[in-house]
Amino acid sequence: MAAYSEFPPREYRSEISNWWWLGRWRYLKFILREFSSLFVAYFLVVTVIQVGAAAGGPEAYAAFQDWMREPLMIVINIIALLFLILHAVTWSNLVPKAVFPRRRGVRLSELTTALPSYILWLVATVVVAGFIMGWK
Amino acid sequence: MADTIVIEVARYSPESDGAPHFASYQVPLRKDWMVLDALNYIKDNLDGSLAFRWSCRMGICGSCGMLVDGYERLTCETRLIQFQPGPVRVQPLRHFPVARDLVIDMSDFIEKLNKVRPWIVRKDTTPPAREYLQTPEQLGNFVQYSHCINCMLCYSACPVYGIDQRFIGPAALALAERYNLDSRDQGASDRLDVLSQHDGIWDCTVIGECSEVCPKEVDPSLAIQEFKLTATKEWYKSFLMPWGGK
Repeated sequence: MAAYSEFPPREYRSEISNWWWLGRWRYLKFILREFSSLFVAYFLVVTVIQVGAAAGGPEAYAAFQDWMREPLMIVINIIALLFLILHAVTWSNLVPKAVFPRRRGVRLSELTTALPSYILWLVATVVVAGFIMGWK
Repeated sequence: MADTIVIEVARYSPESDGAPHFASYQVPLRKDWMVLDALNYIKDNLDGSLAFRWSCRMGICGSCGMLVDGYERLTCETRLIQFQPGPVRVQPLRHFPVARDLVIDMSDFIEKLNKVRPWIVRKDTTPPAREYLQTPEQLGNFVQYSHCINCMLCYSACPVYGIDQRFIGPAALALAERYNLDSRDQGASDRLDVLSQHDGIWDCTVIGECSEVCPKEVDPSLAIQEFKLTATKEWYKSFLMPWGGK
């Protein structure tokens, strides 16, 4: 390592374990956050199928609903929902790391910066839930 | 409260050891002692061959960063009493080569720090007639990042640096951003090429542990994300206005 030395001293170098992400909660949270993206993609696919079923008429939509009522799909969807909530929460919590509103040179608090994201999430949830519930 | 506590210190001698091992020492447990005091007690009274870095003993010099109980801390600011009944483990910072015992080889960090030019760069050819003035707002833009003491705790906490040592790393990037945001500096475009390469800001995956362990609340993770935004804007500007200068 010491480039200036003709005979560099012997040093001990440790390798990072493949299981490093289990070492601390923050590391594990990061891996779960990245992993949760798969469930976002899953719900996108389900939504596309749902829209296709809705476009196909009442019978196609009823078949979609029957499929979603199967025990396996309920279990998958509950797991996917939990990961989706984790994704949304961690994403919103990262907003203060991506936008930096300042007032007179002083950065606004992380809570102030993240709050609009949570409010938007709540509003979008109510609108979408209202739309789905009113579909009947 | 017990009178003593056992400290397990990582020992490594390049002349005789293939890998580090732990040696246990029983030291007095005093209410006002920091972990560094215990290490100095070991060196002065139990084993004079123990090697570790320290200097100011007040959290300013950044020399005494180590893993205490598996977590990156400045040993001069870490109270020993919180680890009772013990034992407590003291190890060198992770991801750096160990030169001896608790002493790491920091050459890689120093090299990377130099790369990002962490000083005020001016294009003036002549010195100004008076000092460069700043408003409190301009100072507020960067002052948080100027608190970095180069203790390297953030490198030890960063798995990205552990996996890929080409990553410039949290402290060097935070210090680069500190000068980029300084109204007196004119070197941002010079730093852009170093910072915006893959081994620079784009290697950061926003795990955030660097900011968590920082003893000075510098928040290197924030500095990196802040510069990602700047680099993205610069890329779009150069793409949409290729005739414009940097």
